[in-house]
Amino acid sequence: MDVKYINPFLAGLKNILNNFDPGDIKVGNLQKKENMNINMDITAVVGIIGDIKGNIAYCLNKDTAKKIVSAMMEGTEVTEIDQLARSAISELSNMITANSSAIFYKSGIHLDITPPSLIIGSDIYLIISSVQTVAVDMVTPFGKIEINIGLEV
Amino acid sequence: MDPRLYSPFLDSAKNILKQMANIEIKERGNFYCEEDDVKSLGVSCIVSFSGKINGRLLLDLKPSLAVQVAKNLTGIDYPSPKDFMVLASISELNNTIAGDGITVLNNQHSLSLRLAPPIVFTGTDSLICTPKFPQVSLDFTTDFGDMKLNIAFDEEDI
Repeated sequence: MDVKYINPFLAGLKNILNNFDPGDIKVGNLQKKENMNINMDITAVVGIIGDIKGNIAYCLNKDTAKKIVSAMMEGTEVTEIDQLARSAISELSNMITANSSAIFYKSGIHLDITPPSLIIGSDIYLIISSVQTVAVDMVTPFGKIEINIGLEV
Repeated sequence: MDPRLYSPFLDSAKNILKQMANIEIKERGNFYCEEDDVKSLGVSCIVSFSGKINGRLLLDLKPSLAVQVAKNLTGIDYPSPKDFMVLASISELNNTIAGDGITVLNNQHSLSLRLAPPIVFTGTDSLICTPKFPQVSLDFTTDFGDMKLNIAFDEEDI
């Protein structure tokens, strides 16, 4: 997958998370996803339509999610992934993807995004694209977030 | 939620399960408001859409039904739903149901809805959450296991 389709999502995540904690966010491992198993607790998926089509899945563990939601709520302690926390994670995935679509727009690629869905469970085997999926580990001050970019490109 | 928003998906689901997978589905009761998050029956497929309003269609199946759908589509017996071809079959099924449903909505109500590609998964004790969206569900029985159709939109009315 051409990096021009990957970089906006990495930048979107950095831009949005930097609003909550201006720490160092690094790009870790990047690979074509061959094994569709999800090893993390929570996955937020947003659909992409327009000049390119696909889905973006943000995967994170509960501890990372609690830290991010706490930062989103100005430091309020978050002890469980309740309805409010789920709503916050959903909104986070929406904001990241919307920010990414604004970056795409600047390079002439017009996208709309669809509503996020959250998947919480174990032993998840998830397919977000029938064409190709690239998985990128983002190492953040809150913990690791795996961005799965599944696009028909 | 306005029934005009979700009823096209019922007709689509019944027709397409029959035409594509040769499976009869029978409603258990009527559509009901889903207050909480949806507990997956085992295999779940989501097609999300965007237009003048936004929403998503969730097709949720027992693993036994999912493998039967795949068998009817491909002629192959699958020992488990955790198989790319089983999930691809469910994906194709839900994509067709969603496409059929939004065509009706677009033709009748000019909603300009467009679909994102499906996502499909299997897991253990999985929960599917679509926060802040009104949603309705309808449960079905089949000869091969239960099924649920769940429709969420960000608007209650057309």
